[in-house]
Amino acid sequence: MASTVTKAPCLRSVWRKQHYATAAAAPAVKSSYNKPSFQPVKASVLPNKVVVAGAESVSPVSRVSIIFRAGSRFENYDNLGCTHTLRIAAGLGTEHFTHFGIRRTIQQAGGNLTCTTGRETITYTLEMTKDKIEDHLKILEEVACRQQFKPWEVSDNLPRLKLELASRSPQVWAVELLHHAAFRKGLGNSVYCPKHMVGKHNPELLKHYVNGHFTGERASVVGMGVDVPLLQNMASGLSLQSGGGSNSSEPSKFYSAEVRRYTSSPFAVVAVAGQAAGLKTGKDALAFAVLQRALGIGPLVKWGCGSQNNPLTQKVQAADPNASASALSLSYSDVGLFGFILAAPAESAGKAVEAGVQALKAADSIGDAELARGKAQLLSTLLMAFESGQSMVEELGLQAALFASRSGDSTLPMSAPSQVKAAIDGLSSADVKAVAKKIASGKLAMAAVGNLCEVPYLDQLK
Amino acid sequence: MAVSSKGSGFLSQFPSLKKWAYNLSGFNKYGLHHDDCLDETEDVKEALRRLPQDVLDRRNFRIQRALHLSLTKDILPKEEWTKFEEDNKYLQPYLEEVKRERMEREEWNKQ
Repeated sequence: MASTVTKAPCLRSVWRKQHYATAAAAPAVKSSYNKPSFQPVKASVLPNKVVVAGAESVSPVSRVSIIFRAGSRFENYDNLGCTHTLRIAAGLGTEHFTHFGIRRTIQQAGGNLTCTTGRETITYTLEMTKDKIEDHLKILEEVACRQQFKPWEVSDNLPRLKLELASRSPQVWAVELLHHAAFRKGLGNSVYCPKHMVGKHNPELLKHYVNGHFTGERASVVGMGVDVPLLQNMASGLSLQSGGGSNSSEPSKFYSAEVRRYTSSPFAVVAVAGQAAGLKTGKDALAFAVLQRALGIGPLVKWGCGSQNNPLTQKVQAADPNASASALSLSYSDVGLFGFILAAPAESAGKAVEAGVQALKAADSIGDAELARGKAQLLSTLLMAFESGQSMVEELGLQAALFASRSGDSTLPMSAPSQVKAAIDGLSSADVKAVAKKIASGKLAMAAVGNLCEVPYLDQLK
Repeated sequence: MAVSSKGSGFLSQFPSLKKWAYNLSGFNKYGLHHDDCLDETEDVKEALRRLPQDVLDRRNFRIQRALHLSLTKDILPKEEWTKFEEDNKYLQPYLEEVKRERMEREEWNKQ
């Protein structure tokens, strides 16, 4: 493309001029671009209960997401795995567009349409250059709210679902099973479709789930680099069911249980965790995140091995030099999980797991140097998320879906660097040690995948 | 045995004429429906793929029976002939959609 552009004579002179201009201006660099304001983002509520939030962005790419609080935790036994099928079915034929039409139109505009599902939410995101996105919001709306689920299209895409199931890594599997052991229902539902439900999600079932969960009460629209009135206009025209449904799922209860899956692998992957704070507690959830980084999340330098100083890695590698471990902190709106995940050769996995549990039990006596490192790492991780438009819009979407008030305008709690910095600076060592004490004295849940001949059972862990 | 799948504009003005033409075409004496006799073009094949299984099973049964009758140089007793009113053109909605999709594809691929 570039070569054909410079072939046009008029453009060539422009190109040359620009070239000279940049060459001349090179010594004196002028920062004339508009810096993003990075103010905390305000979320407003429309009459149809949809929450709308928008942030400015200097990026030439704009992003708009429609988020529903309809993740896998809202599934029940009869429609388990429904959200996985919904994700696979995103972008198939809708009321006014065909699968092919959607694909080609987005392609032609150079855009990107994605669907992401989690335990809490389902997100449909459109990425496109600033000048084009306005015309294509209609497609995003159709894909999110007017899906048709034609039986042949859904069944044509089942191989993609099966491939995803088959290519899950044992680590992912262990974390899924850990949720299942710890919460049983609700949050215990996997984001993956269980094997016995593959192909069982007929169009009626999908339609029923969408009608029950894609409601105004559960919907949010966020955008970056798009005018807020435009977003509001789109959000008020969304074709949504009006009924709020049961907006709050049943509260998740933590169980001290274990799940083991034997496979013919030479390794064992073990995840152990106790109950942690939910995101709604704010401070405690952040303290857990600091503690996670203080305990160690593996090397932060690619191919690096500088994580030997982490208390968790130290203990685990003393037991088995071939094992690798990372602390785990998973936070959901009402509850969370905190613990570690490790992989080790089958013969020595037992010792590694015991060492990991000991590190977890000793978390409340963690040193101040480690905590300071944890805070610095968390701060940089969160601030770096503001750098990338993709993670920023994801973050805004989650906050709008989980925290924004449905009764009036509100400010999103962690939507600007200043808020993040204030929140992390506000954490004292005592706060982190308090949550560490809870984990050290609390009960644990456990999931293990692989060759488990040496891996101890939950009641054998001290 | 293929018949035109188009609802002829001229004949549709005269319902009784349409019925007369339907009975004259003869396939109903084998118990077939109009859409059982379509040429299996790519469009029809795709539409058949999308047909619900029970409808497809009934179609296959009718075609089997017609083949058997043709083999034995026979036709069904008159009371079992397909009646004009009972022929519901089950494939048409699917076929229309397939054609629309194909036309959209061709439109996009046009330079």
